[in-house]
Order: sequence, then structure tokens, then C-alpha cells
Amino acid sequence: MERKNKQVFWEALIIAIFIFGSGLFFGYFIELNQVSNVISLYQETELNLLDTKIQDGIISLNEIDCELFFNESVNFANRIYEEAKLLEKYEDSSQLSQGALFQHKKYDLLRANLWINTIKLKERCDLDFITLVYFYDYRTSSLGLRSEQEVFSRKLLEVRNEKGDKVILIPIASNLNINSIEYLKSYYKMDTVPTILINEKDKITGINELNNLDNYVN
Amino acid sequence: MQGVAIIYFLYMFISLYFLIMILIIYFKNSDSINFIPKLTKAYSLAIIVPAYNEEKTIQETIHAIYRTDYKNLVQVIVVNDGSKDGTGKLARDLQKKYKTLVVLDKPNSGKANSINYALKFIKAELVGVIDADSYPHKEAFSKLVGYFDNSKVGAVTGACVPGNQNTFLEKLQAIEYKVIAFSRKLLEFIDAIYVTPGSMAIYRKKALEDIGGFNPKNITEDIEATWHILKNNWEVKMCFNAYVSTTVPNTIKPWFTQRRRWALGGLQCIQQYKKNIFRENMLGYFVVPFFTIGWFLGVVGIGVFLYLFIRKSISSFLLTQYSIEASVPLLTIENMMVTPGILNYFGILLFVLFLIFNIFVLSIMKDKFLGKQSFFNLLFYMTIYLLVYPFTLITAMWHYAKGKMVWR
Repeated sequence: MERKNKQVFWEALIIAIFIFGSGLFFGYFIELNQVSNVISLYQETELNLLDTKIQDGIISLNEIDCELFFNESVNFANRIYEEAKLLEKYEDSSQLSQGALFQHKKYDLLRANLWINTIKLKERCDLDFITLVYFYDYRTSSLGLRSEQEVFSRKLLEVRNEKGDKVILIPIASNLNINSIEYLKSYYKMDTVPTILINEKDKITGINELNNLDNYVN
Repeated sequence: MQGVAIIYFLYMFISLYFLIMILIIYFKNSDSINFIPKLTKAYSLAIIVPAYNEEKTIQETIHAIYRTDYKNLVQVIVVNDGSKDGTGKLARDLQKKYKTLVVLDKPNSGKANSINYALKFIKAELVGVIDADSYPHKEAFSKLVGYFDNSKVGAVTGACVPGNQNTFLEKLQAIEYKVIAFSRKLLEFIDAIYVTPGSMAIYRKKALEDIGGFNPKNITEDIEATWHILKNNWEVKMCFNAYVSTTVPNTIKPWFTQRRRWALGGLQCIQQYKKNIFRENMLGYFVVPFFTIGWFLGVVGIGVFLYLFIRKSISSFLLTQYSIEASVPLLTIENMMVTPGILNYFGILLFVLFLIFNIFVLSIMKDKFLGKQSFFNLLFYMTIYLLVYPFTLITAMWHYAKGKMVWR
């Protein structure tokens, strides 16, 4: 074999490493970019978090505009719902970076905060709205559970689209080891997923019970 | 990163490496691809045609051999390997026309034994082997024999093309044969031709004696013989312009059986020559590792594919069942929206690279007696056809584990 042909093994290796490495770098960059898109969205939402904390304080005051607070809460819930959904889409395609998981925890904290505010809002105001808190497992490997959660998500989305002005939907990942969420789970005895907690009283667990959700929201 | 993703990346890197290697070899040697050595000596050449139940094609094969323009074709031996049909009689019918045609009858014992049996009757310097359903083109032998001026050359083969290209399956195989012929020629430049196929190969008799003839225990005796020749430091060459037409399977079952046999024979060869890995010459440094990696890619690739496919199927089934139970839509627009990730980008990149490579190969081969191919055929070949291939490996492994080393 000629010398020039012996070299092909090394030349091919170097070129393959270069192309492959460039691809990995490019992919990593794309994924980081996706996460940074969510981070920038989150920064705006973080302002809303501060806002909710102030709202929390305001709710304690004597005079509040219940209608206004309710509408703000619905908008806030919708907004973080959409942003978290976008984040989950990026997470599904992500292979190289773990930044999305951290962001996911932050959104769960936001949602938990929102939930607490809605509880207080109910205590203070005579408003006719329904809180649906949806507890699910984040990135579960169980096919059965994933399918079940997907059906729950579709049903909840359907409800939100139909009754958006009366329903506040708050999905919360139950397995991210966040202390406040663990406490809420324990307080409301949320020991299985997926479960929908309706107005902090009733629970819907399992596909068989999912049809009953219409009875609560109609 | 998940285990599946790591396997996927590994798979892609190895595929990319071999693709780049083939392309580098091509660009370094593109001037020499069509090289045909001059005939400086009329080596005596004998042809062996092992035949088992080949009454449909045997006469045409004999005619094709005698129609070639090589001047010193001294003998053609048809070995009737216990055929149950009229193969022997039809071959003998031509003895009046061709005085150097010899027909030997023996009980059925396989192709390798048939060739070894015929070798005892041969006194020529070069021995050709032609399958009984293959037809060498007129100048094929003349183009091959010149390589033997190099005393290190032990075997030479040509480009095998499907003689039947009418049905869809035959057309797909035509693409495959073109890619194989092109790749095989390029492997010659790194002394790594891994098979001199039974459809047409010429061996230096001394080289065959050196390896003790063909191994009857291996069901792809042509692959094993080539590896043995390489192991004994002979060189193997290929003439890109010496053609032989062969009859390819036209239905799925015989196609699958043939590919399974090739895979099984390859597995036998890996087992037999595994001690040569990374030793001595290109057999150890390239051919055996190349085959082994090919097996790994095929089996792991189909394993990952099946794993993902089954998971997706179970998931879809459960989702449908639950959706019906809960009266929610079976499919939403959101579910159809997919955010591409790095695996998708890599997959698409690799597919496009291989598509370009195949188009490139077909464009090189289109003037070489091989006809044109439609783009649809090419896409089908690259997706469905090649996807079925690893299943032949799986069944070959099963046969190997069960010890079923049978031709059919």
C-alpha cells in the first residue's frame, strides 16, 4: 500500500472528529440558546413574581379590588403556563445541557406562589372561580404514567380553553424535591400522580375519574 | 445524556468516519480507478463453474464464458454438485460445441467442496470461479488477468452487476451493487478488498494451493478464501471495468435468505480470524475490524431502533386507550409540533451526506453499463431497504447460535 493511502485512516479520523466536534458544539450552542430564550422570558416573569409577592401583601390589606386581582392571577397563570410549556418542549429535545431542569424548578416555585395567592384571594373575596392544581411527575420513564399524564394535560387544556375566565390552572411537578412543594403535597395529602386538586378540596386521580372533572367546572 | 443518545452519537461518529475515509480514498485515487493493466503475458486460465440445480442458467453461463475474448482459456470445468434437475445433462450437451468443456459429477457436498474437487484437475496458472447463474462480459477476463503480472497478486475480481433489473427489488439491488462495486474498488487502494465474490473471481493457482483451497465449513467460501489470501500476504485487486452479470433474487424470501447467508458467513469469518485483529497486515488492521464494526453498527442500530419503536408503539397504544376512556382528543396540533434537537440535526446531516454520497456513486457509475436509477428508488433504498438489512444480521446470529450453518 502506498504511503499516501496509509494516511487516510488518520486523515479521516481528524476530519470526522472535526465535523463531529463542530456538530456537538453547534448543537450545544442551539440548546443553550433555547434555554436562554426561556431565561429571558423568565426574567420578565420574575418581575411578575415580585408583583405576586406584593399582591400577597396587598391581599392582607382591608380594601382590594378582587376582580382586578383575579384577572391578574388568571393572566399570570396563563403566562407561566405557556412559558413552562415552551421550556418543556426544549427539554424534550435537549441532549447536551441541563440548564432547562433548573429553569423548570423556578417555574414550579412561581406556580406554587401563584397557588398560595389564589387561596388567599378566595379567603378575602367572594369570587366564583375554580383552582385546578395539577400534580404530575417530571420526566417520568414509565410509559403508562407518561401516557396517563398526557391525557390529563389534554383534558386540562380543554377545560382551560373552554372556561378560561373561571379557571386557574396550575400544573406543578411533584418530584423535584422543592421543600415548599413537598410541604403542600403533604398538607393536601397528594400521594399519587397524576392528581388534580380542585379548589383545595376534591381530588381527581386516575383516568377513570377524569370524566368527573366536567362536573366540577360546569 | 441518556444511554440511547450516547449509542446514537457513537453510531453516527463511526458512520461518518467510514464515509469520510471512503471519500478521501476516492479523491486521492480518482485517476487510477479506471486503470486496466495491459496484457503482457497470456497466462493459462481455467474456469470452474460449481452448479447445483442451475438448469435455467447453466448453458447461458457456459456460453458467456466461451464468448469472452481471452485467448488462453484452456479449460472450463462444470462441477455438477448432485443436482436434482437437468443441470448435468444440459452442461454435457454443450461439450460437442466446446471441446475444452469438462463436466464433473459428484454427490452434493456444497460449493467449496465442488471447487476444491475441480482444482485437482486443473493445470493452468490461473483459476477462475464463476457462479452458474453469472455471465462474464466479453472483455472481463482480459481486463482481470493483467493484474497477475504483479507476483504478489493472489486474486482479482471485477464489478458484479445485476443481470435482471426489471422488478422493484431488482432495481434496489442494482443500486446496492453499484455502491458495493464502487466501495470495493476504493478499498483496493488500502489493500482491503474483503471478498472476491463467487460471481467472478480469478485466483493465482499457487495462492489457492497456499491457502489449501476453499474452506467447506464456511458458507461464504469466497469471503473466507479472500481473508485467507490476505492473511498469507497476497494482494487482492479489483478491475472496475471488468463486468459480470449475475442473477439477483427477485422476491423477498430468497433475497432475505441470501443476505442472511452472507451475514452468517461473515460471522463465521470474524470468529475464525478474530485472533488476527490488529496484527500483521490489512486483514487484521482493517478488514476484520471493519466487518466487526459493521456487525456492531447493524445490530446495535436495529436494537436501538426497535427499542424506540416499541416504546413509541406502547406509548401510542396507552395514550389512545386512555384518551378514549377520558373522552379527550386523540391527537392535538400541539402533539404534532416537534422541536428538533441535536440528535435530529445529526441524523438529518448524516442522511444527507449518505444521500449525496450515493448520488455521487450513481453518477459515476451511470455510464458503466449499469443504467440509471430513479430518485425514488434511491430514497427507498436508503430508508426501507437498508433498514431491513440488520434483520438479516439478527437472524444470522440466531442461526449461528443454533449451529444452523446452512446455505438455504
